[in-house]
Amino acid sequence: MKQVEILALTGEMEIVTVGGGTVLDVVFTLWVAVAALVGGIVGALLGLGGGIIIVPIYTLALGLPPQIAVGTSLVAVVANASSAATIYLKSRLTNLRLALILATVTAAGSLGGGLIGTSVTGPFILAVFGFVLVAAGILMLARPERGARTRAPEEAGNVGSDPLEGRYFDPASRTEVVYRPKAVRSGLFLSLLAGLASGFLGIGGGIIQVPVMNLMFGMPMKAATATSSHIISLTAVAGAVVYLARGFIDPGVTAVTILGVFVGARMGARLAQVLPGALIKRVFAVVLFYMALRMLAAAFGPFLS
Amino acid sequence: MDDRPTLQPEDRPKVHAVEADAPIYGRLSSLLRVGVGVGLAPVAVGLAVALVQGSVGEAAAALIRAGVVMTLALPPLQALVAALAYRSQSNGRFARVAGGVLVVQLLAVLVAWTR
Repeated sequence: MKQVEILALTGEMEIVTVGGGTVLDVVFTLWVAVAALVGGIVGALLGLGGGIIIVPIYTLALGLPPQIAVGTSLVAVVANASSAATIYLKSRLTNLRLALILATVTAAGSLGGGLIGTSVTGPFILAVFGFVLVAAGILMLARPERGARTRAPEEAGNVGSDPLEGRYFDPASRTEVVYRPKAVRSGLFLSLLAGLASGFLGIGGGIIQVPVMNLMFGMPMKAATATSSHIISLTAVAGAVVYLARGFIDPGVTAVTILGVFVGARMGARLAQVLPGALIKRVFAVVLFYMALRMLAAAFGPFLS
Repeated sequence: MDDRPTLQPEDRPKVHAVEADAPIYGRLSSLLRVGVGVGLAPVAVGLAVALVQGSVGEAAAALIRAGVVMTLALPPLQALVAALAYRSQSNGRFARVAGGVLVVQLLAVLVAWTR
């Protein structure tokens, strides 16, 4: 069994093994569970996979090596996105054909990201993650969501002429929404980047995919979120297997993380119905900036001191 | 001899993508629902065993690993089901796209264990 070098909360490094297995440190396990739960809740509130919260907490607060944090996060992302995709498929919010097209390049990117992530040093991962967190925080504050180019079904004309055309019933507005994704080809490169970020940083990649689909393809936000979730359910595995094959997935930490994120995502989905979305985004943008600073300090600190 | 006029592609009734794909949506949704449950069950049992024993012993680790592998097997299975479903609908274009996703996923497994 791969033993994890646990940088304890006190800052001391310890490797604890008994009978070939890693001792479950109760305090450490509880912290992992809390972090995974928070990652799941926040991920659901912000429409993300949770990895963008889990990886910084695991590396900064729990002292896990970045590759272990990324590998663990990717497995949780696969489980969580698969679960969310079930719900979105049922409600027909997912644009399955578009998801499959984008998944081909995103999966290739995720594989590349996994190969890079398992070959570079921990501080390099922390530095890139820090910059990604800054970008994510700016995106959240800027609120670049825009109304999609949708039409009523009777106005749509040539129904079925576009194989990527999406259609779903929106219970909030009690209307059937019809949309046609535009400029899909030019979004393929950005999907490749989303895959790279996913495999390299242990995130789903929704932080890139959702704005691309909403702003560039002109898709409604709900359809973009659902389709992004489906893409992640197909592509994060390409990065995850690289970490699994190279021994960066610890069974104990992974089990707590998968279950914690799974439960947290359900709690977050319920909270999202009662909490004000705009305020949540602003608060977590500040949290992301703080985590970005800590990540960059951890990455560049040794070079500055 | 059949004297009915041959239906040209442009004369065929247009069916919306979502309506045409409805059976695939249903199949994938069921697959993912069952698959997530099947993958998470051994992980939960493995964690429970580890908590009772106070350490992640071999039995607990094997259970958790089995759950992780089953969870990671879901995406290729999903791509395979989508490819077969589109093929059965004679939608060669999207059968190939779904097949392409499957190829990249399998390539990732191959590269991960050989490089």
